[in-house]
Amino acid sequence: MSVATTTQVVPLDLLQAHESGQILEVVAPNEWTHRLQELGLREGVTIRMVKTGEPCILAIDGHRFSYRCDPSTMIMVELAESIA
Amino acid sequence: MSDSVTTPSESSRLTVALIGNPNTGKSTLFNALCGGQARVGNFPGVTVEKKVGQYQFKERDITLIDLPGTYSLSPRSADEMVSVDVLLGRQDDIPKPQAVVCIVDSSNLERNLYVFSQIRDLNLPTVLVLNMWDLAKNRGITIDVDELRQRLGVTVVMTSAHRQDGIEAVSEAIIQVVEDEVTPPPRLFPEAFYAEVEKLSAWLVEHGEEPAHFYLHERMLLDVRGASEEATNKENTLQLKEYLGETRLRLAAEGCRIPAIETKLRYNWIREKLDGVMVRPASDQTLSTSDRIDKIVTHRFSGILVFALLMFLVFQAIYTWSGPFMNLVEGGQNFISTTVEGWMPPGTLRSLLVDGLIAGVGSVIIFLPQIVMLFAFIAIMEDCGYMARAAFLMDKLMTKIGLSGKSFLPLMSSFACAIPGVMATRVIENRRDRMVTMLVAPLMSCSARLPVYILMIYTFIPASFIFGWLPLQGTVLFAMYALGTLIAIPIAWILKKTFFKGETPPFVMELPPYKWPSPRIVFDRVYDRAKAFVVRAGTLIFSVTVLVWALSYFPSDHSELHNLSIQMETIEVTAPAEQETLDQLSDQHNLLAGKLIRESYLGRMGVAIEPVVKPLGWDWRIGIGALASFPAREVVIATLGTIFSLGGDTDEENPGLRSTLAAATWPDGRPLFTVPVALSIMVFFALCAQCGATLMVIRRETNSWRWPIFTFTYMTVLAYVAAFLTYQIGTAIGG
Ligand SMILES: Nc1nc2c(ncn2[C@@H]2O[C@H](COP(=O)(O)OP(=O)(O)O)[C@@H](O)[C@H]2O)c(=O)[nH]1
Repeated sequence: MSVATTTQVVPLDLLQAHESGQILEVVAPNEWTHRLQELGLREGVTIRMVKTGEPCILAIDGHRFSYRCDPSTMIMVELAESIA
Repeated sequence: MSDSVTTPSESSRLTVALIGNPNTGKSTLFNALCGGQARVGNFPGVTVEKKVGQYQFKERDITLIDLPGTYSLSPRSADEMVSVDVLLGRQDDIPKPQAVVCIVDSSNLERNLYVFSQIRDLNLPTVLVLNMWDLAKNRGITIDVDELRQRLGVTVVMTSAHRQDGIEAVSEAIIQVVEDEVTPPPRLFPEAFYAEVEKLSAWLVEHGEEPAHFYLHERMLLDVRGASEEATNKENTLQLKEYLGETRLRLAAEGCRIPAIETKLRYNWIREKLDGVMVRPASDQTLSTSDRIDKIVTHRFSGILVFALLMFLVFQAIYTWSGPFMNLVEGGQNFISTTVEGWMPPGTLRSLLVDGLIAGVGSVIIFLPQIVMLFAFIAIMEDCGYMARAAFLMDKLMTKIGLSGKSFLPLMSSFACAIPGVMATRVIENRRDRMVTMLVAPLMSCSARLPVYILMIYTFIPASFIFGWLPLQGTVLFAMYALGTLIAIPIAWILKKTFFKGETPPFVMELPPYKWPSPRIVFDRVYDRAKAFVVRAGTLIFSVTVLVWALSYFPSDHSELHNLSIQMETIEVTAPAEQETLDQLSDQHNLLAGKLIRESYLGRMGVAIEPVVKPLGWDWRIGIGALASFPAREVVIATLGTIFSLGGDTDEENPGLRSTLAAATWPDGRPLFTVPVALSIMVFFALCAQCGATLMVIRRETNSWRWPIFTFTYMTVLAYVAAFLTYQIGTAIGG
């Protein structure tokens, strides 16, 4: 993975199609964080937005997930600035 | 729950548990090992399917227990607790497993190892099966298996279960690991945590609890409001919760935050173990074939179009293709009736056989082809990966009524049968959503309604074309399927606004890559369901049929009727030219038969209920048919078959049920079935809760009588009102 020159942290749902980044933080009610983490949405993981919208499609390690969060859940992503 | 007994003398017998994430090929491996021989049942008190298989390998009898697919071993409900209980030998009806086989998807190793890391904590002999080895290779993923074996301290086997690759090695590994010494589980948590678990164990024993496995006490601390908290003496529960709360606070003060700590530590451990062992190709920026298909299939407009088209084709296909099969079965049924009539004189026994059994059960069996087709379509859509996309697509619509796409799968499988549908609601994490989904699932038109639709449509809806190209009959069938779904929308919305108020839940679901459906899996599912259908026809429907036959045969005196039959059959043989006499006798016979059935017990009951069903356009015979179908709706076909056959409405040329119904009249000679009547019957069956088994499953899943009673009431009222409107409006428009 190339090192990003500038970093930008945005909520996951603001990612554009084909943008990718690393999950910095998962803010959600306790039980739900646990589920998300078990599914692979956890800190340090690189995710890519395949299709935006509600729900959106995410790619994690070559696997695809549909994802829609409720207002109490926020996943912060550190954008990877255009990977070479 | 107590420790179960394994007979020591049978040292050659091995009990092995199979566990892993969903979609890792667990069932495929299970079938490959056991050759598809499995006993399927339920664990007592919960809704978890218990699948146990037996096979022999190198003189050893191996009993394989298939545990439900799971992403983690953190029991949050009684259902999830079952897996833990089985693994720890706390499940009464199953001996404690001597080994665990943990199956993972090699192409997604990191995430799949989560449950493995929890299984390690159980300290049981463990075999790690890296399945989907072919897939990992295709994706360019390399795994240094020897190194992995070293680092994890367990036996590792690579398989491609769908091709039967590496299956023997799994069995070899099983019989090997039970001999080997178990490497103690890694200690992932800070020592303070283990100290607290020890303290908790001591505290529990002090409070009169049975000593239990260390893992259970770990879980008590780690799962906030988890199922292990409940598994204690009632008096202690409150105190325990308080104790656990304090302990968690203490641990948090030391930087060990529950529950976040667990995922963090386990994934760190996994990453450490996989570092340098697994290498995956640098990026997955390229669009895979699945992504390209998804572009169309999950698109806002084209996606919906594809979905609608697919559904429409399925129903048209079921309708069109089933015709020839139906004729075949019907031909067989006629042949049997005629044969029986040939070698038996008219009498009570012959009536039981011909009017009761052959007309009753036969008229249900005739629908087997359609049901097989419906199940096959659903199984194919599920196995190729389309179903998850449909759920994705539907999430948008579902959120409008306060549900999520998660509810789509249970509802879709309810089109096959509401029983697996209701059980499938277990994938919904949110309790309120789960309840709403469960309560509307029986509104989906299940395969048992199909016979009613087909019978009515085939007999009474003209085979014409709308706009000159759209087959009317297939379209009516589609409309009946749409009806339940459309009605479910406001019902779910109301439920979500009243009894089950709450936020729209979040929605996270895996979209597996598309693949060709496996014939084996499709066949297995279809076979299971078809078998269930035939068994039901042979038992429940059989009994109801005999009961209905008896009620409509007795107490009237049938000797005169039998005499008439004998006369007719004699003339047919000796003087077939005397058509006039024959017609006369036949009219007399039918008149008498009609009178007799009106005088029977059933007829008297019918007269009592006729005022209730008359507004729906039904006569008492249809009313009785509908009433008799409350235990299982497909019974109506059998019941109508028996009532109309006994009532003398049978068309002598063609004794099949369709022509019988077409010939049926009111006492004044008007035809009984018109298009509005047929529609009103279909609408009633589409919406009514006529399935004892479904209500029982709802009762089991909700653990209360309240919800099945609620479901039954709202559906029955709905069905009656809708059938009433259909008939009245239909008559007003079409006459
Ligand atoms: N490519 C590949 N597919 C597999 C393998 N094992 C199973 N499958 C397929 O994966 C799908 C899911 O398998 P199934 O046994 O139902 O998974 P379960 O949910 O874990 O029980 C099926 O379509 C199988 O045919 C494998 O080793 N390689």
